[in-house]
Amino acid sequence: MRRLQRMQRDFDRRGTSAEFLVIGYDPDRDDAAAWHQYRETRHLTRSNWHFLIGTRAAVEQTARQLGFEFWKYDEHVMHDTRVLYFDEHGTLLETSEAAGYETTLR
Amino acid sequence: MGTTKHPRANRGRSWVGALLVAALGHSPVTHAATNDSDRIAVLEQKLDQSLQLIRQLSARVQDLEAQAAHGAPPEADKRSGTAAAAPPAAAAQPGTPAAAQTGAAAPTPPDTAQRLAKVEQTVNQMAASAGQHADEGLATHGFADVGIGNRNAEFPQYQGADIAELDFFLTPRLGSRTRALFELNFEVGSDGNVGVDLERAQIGYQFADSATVWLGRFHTPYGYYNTAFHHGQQIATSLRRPRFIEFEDHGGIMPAHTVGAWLTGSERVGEQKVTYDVYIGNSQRITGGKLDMNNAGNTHGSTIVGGNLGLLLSGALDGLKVGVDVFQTRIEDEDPLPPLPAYVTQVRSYGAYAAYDTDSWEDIAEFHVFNNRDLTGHTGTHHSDAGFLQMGYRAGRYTPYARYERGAFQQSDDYFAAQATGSSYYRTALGLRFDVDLVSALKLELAQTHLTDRVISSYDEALLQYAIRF
Repeated sequence: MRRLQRMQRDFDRRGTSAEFLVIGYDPDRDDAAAWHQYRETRHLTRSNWHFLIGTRAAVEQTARQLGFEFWKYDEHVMHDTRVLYFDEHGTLLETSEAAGYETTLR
Repeated sequence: MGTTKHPRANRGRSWVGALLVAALGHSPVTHAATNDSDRIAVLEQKLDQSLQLIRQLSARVQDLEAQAAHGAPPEADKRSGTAAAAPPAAAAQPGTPAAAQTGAAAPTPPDTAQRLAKVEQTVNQMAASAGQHADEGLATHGFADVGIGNRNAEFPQYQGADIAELDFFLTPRLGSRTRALFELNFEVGSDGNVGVDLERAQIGYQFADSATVWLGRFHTPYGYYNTAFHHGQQIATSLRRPRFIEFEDHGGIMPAHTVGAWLTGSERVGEQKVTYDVYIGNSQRITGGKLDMNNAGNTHGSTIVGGNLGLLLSGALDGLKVGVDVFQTRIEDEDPLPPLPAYVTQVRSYGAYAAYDTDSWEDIAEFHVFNNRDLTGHTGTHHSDAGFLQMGYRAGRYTPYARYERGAFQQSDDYFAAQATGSSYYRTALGLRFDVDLVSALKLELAQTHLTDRVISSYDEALLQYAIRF
């Protein structure tokens, strides 16, 4: 998330508009109220940041189509860390693997 | 459209997509080293105006408005082969009830509807553009860890290098409501040999988001640690579990596994979230100086019954979970040789816990009181207690942590006296976790353990663990 925030700052400096999509892996926990709370506590309230949830099947299907691997170990979500870049037509431009590490509930 | 307003309004808009973790109270920490500025510069060259997209969006908005006017469910709910659309879009509106997941359309202002429609379409476009497909088969995941130290982390009578466990985790897809979870563990036991254990075997049905019932063998939901962390060490900050809540065959003195039925769930109450667990199962026994969960049932029909009630706080206390738990069971000590009768103890445990888990901190405190009664009438009632406090700070890829734990167990209580590791103790530990990459971690721990009854002694440990997930 911090990386995405850095990207936002870069975009702002360059005068570029961008939309950020963040999709929760776990519909059982990432409900709308949870996302709302998440945004509020982390000051991620800009309107170009979209925090999404879906049904479990929809999330799994979207993740597969976008090439995100994840699996659940009880409350823990094991996942990779990548950022996909799309143009305004929704065409995938680039996939960026995180050079560092990212983890979730440990 | 409810999107970012910018002076260069005619510039095309790019989309950055990312999937985020599920546990919102435990958000990820990113440490990217790539130069995003260069990438953005390249991206800027690729972006231009999108009048065509606007036309598409306008048409799409009209479609959605028409659907809403006719009470039709969002299109994504009817489609197969497309990405998450309507439910996520509804969720993007702050304060939208979770019921939006069901596709029940809540009234939305026109500008919000347009914005959500755009998001929906973009998600679909992105998914279609990426166009990757994965196998639908059963994926195998798991954990493994190895170590080295002046003592074995679990069995201090050994020293040197050790293999600890190879843990396979299977969650077959059985439908939208049916759940299954199996954890098959190859682990080194106290005799130094590798054994195989079906650590968890659960089949369940999710009645609602707030209620899932499991049947089988599960981790007894007492306290916090036993269900927050499982057999895979890679997910745990510390190198090992607190000694008194280790698994039964690794020296734990509490019934870490139960074979029975378990109802669990959570419900949002205002800004907070309430979690609950209620369970009943075979009462455990003591055999060979260790607790056994009676996988096949027991011969006397007695049960363990318990519950756990937790509260996930929000706002200024976001990341804090507090809770209480209780269980009662009837433990038979089968080790006395005939003609001595088996000791039977009614074990009653009351627990309380607090866990503060944020982007930076992972602090856990857990405390249990035991009021045990000797049902064979020899020694009466006994009071014991155990607890630990662990504090960890996530500083990038490094997580230093400290833990203090103690157990004060009445040795006149057969429940503790009969267990090989049932002696009182206290332990202090300092550790450092280093995340090598996404799937592996190195942990170093220095610990000092004092045994305070039965045999009074102490020993120091310097332990190194390499844990992975796959």
